[in-house]
Amino acid sequence: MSRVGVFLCLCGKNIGGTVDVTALGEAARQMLGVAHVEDATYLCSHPGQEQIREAIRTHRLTAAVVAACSPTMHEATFRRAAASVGLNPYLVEMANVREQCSWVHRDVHAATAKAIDLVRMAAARVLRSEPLYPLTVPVTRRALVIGGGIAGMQAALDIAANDQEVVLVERGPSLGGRMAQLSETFPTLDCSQCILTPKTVEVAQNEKVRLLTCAEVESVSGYIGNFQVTVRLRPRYVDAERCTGCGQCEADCPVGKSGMVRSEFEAGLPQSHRSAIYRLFPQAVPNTPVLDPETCLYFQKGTCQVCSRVCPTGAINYDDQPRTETLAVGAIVVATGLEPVSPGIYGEFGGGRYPDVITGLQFERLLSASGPTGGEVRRPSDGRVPQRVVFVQCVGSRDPAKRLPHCSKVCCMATAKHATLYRHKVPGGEAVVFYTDIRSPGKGYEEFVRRAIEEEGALYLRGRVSKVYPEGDHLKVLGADTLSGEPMPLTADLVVLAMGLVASPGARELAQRLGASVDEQGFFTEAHPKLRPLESFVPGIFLAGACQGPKDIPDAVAQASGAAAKVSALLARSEFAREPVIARVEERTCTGCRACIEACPYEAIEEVEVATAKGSRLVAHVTEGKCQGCGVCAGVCRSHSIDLAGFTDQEVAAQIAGASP
Amino acid sequence: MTSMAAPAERAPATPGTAQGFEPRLVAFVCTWCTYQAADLAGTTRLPYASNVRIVRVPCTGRLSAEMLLHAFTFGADGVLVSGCHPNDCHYASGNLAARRRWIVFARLLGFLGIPQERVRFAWVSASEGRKWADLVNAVVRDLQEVGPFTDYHHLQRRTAAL
Amino acid sequence: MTTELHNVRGAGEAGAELAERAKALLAGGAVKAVLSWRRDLTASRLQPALFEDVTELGDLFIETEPGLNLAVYLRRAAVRGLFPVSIVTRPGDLRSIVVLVQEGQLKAEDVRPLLFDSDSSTILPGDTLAELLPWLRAHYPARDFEDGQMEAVTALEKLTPAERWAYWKDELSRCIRCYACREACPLCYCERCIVDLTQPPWLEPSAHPRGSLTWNLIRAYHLAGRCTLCGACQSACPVDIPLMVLNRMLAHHVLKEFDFAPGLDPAGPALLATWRREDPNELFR
Repeated sequence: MSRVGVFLCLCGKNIGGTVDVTALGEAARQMLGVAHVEDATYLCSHPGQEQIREAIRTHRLTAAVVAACSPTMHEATFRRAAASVGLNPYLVEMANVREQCSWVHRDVHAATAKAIDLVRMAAARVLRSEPLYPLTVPVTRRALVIGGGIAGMQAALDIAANDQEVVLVERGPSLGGRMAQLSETFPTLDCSQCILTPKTVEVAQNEKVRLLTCAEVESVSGYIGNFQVTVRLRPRYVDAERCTGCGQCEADCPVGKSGMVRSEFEAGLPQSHRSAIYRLFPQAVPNTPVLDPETCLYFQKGTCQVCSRVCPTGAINYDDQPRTETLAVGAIVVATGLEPVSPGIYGEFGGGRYPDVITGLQFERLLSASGPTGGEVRRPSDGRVPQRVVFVQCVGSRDPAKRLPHCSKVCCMATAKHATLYRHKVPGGEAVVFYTDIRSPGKGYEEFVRRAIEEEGALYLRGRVSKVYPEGDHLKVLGADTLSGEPMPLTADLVVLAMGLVASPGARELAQRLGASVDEQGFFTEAHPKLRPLESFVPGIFLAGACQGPKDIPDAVAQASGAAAKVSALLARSEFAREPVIARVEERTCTGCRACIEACPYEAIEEVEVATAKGSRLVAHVTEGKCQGCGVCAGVCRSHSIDLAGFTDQEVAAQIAGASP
Repeated sequence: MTSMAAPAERAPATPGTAQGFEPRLVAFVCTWCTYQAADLAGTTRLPYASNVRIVRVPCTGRLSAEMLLHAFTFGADGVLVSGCHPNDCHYASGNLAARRRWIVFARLLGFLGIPQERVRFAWVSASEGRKWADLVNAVVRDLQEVGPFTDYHHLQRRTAAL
Repeated sequence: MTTELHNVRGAGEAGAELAERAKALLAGGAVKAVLSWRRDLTASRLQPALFEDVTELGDLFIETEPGLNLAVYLRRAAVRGLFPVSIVTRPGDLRSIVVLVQEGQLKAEDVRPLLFDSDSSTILPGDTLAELLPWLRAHYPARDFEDGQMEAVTALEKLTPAERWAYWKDELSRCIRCYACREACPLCYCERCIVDLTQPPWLEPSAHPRGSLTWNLIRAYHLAGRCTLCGACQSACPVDIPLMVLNRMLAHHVLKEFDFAPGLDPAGPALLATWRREDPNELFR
């Protein structure tokens, strides 16, 4: 005899203010199978949960419906409460009367009618539910970190500190990420390389961290605790065991001397160049050069080979081949970072066209002592020191028309830093900043911006720039000063655009391989924007750093450590309890048509022979460990001989039928 | 069939009139994308038509044609299926497996003379709260135009030869 | 259903060849039985028949109107006990056998089909799936949609939805839920049919107009990408429901949308269990 308890949460005024909970309760009492109805102001609170537990005990309830917020919020909470008094947690169903009812429907009558339907649907469904028991799967106690920037490195080090193995896969030839490209960091003006290199060295030397560079994740299969990852390693063409890092190859490479190839590390600055065989930057880790076959004379024309002649240890290997490696890992941390938007999308500013209109990252390279100008601020066009630099903020941010509606979070600070450093290096020079707002929320950030304005003498003008164009040797910047209401056309020697930030190239493709989601700008979607910012939607795949959204270094480091803590918690046990939402075959009626086998995205179903009165036949069989509970098999089976526990045909049909009174 | 709810709860649908007719829309959505989008519409307080009743499944691939028809049998005037965009399915390809199913099913229903406004399909990702709200409003508006699905709900035997 | 009898034995080379080939297979031990048609005792209709004795093979006939698809007997225990069997087929029948192999219901070596092509009135050379598939692939699915066969479909598509609904409501309301269509179809082999499932009650089992509409709709849907247009269902229907119009419409749709034709590759993918990135997206907002 079923006895369903219905618990109605007012959620303060969140639900109670729009849904007539009294009428809802009255209606619920009439519903089939409902033995008990009660309400509370906050069911998720401790007293609220105690109320539920007490009711289950007192009224001998066999199932429960909780009409409250979204199950993504508190399904686990209420299931735990039920389990604690002996009611199987899978006999608890939530009716989402908040996010999907009281918060979106203003009319009390309509919202109440809908809430009643939702409760009826949940009650009808739970009457068809069966108790389910968790499955345990083994956990591979190794983590994968994708991305060798500051977030990836921090996550790797923290996981390793828990005595757990880590494989760190970095796409480029060296650790360091964006931080390696920075000159100084705000607000302390620490030398970026100086605070970065101890981390890169630590990662390289950590016994628990296996570093793979020039490596990319090619495919991912499996599930939490049991991922199989194929990594593709590009050939470096240099034997790391033999290379001493002397740098002779790089120095003697004729491509380098020709200055024909711009350096990607220097953000494509016109003054920059690199060799075909090169280290990304002097402090690169590993300190082994990489040969780029696209620009190498030997690979392109069959000539040269200078590097192999001058290498004292014979470390150059032109026959190096790509290879793939398959790793078994239990958890994955995504730390793939971000990139600035290309300035070319704003034709009116001439970025990419006029050599003296550069991006913030390019300006960073001009400022850097190891940059192409040795740290001197010089114009790309003629090498002269600019006497007036105009900084334009919000280029490619807060712009819905270009589908970049978000604020990129760090550019206000970066621009203040650029203006400050420029004034340090060119004391007579003028720094003018066109801003929309100044966002400086971090510790010491506001003070830093104030100093830039009040002490360093940067001129901050609130207004947009409509156009930049060359005028003789200079650039004309058509700006505005909205506080005075005046147009502000200026002549500048150098224009620096604070470009908006989006996810690194390839983030979307990586997300697809992982089964994770990204938003329109390619940033990975977190499981919950407030309460679960470090997890992707895929169990076992965590997010660290700017791949999840633009952020500064302290936030990236904090997030990385947080993700590492979650990884370590997962890898701490040898077994993991997973949701028992898996497919089940009714062998008696299965015709062996194989549709489910073909349809399963995880290859979790196979044919097995079963005995019959007259011999044997083939039917479908589900491998529990591989089944992820998507239900595609159940959707495709014509005879309905395969069903999904937790979302059975009966449960779904009852819920559908319950939608109408 | 499953309830003994008091009759006054729902305003009965007025057959045949576009004005004042409130269609019943059953929406089948996936846990990972569209359900999250519907929640997001809630957290951002985007108002939309209250006619929709969501049936949540892990993946739109879980749904069978029989389930959609079941909704009609139990009073729905329209059905909406919404899941993750292709390539973004939480279960790799569940939505792609479902896609073919719906194309065939929709064609069949259309050939039988069921207006396409009654069976709608969409991809709504977890971050598309506004798209969800707009989608529901648009589908409900279209259903108000085509009216209640009395054709199906009240199928009668042919009187003449039988 | 049978409007014209075609006595192949007396009809020149083709007829003689069929009888001789069947005899050779049976007498030589390559098969243990032959599934074909024979004239019934009243000599007015054709009946399906299973011949185990060579001497009985003098009376082979072939049904040129759709009529029954003999492949439906390949699932019977008595016939399976006699595998391998030879079976007289028309192209739609043979293709349905290919689908049975594809769906694990038969193995290719269980049958030695003899294929009759009514267009040329010939029995094709070859008596294994492998030998007959190239001819099938050369002529199908193009032949499924020649002029005349798509007329009813095209005419219905020109109507308004309301007109189409009125048409189908009428046609399908005649259904008496005898399930002759299902029994005559070799691809309706589910031990427990969807209509036998009472929990949940996906379909109303009695001859109620709504349940009957749903039954015919679901059956057509379950055959999408599988039906090889043999016509047995419509032939079997005692109340003349135009089932082939539905089947042909879906077969054409599936070919256009997914470049998919069933019954031409025993190792091919099932339509609704697989997908391609390029599958059309127009239906989705």
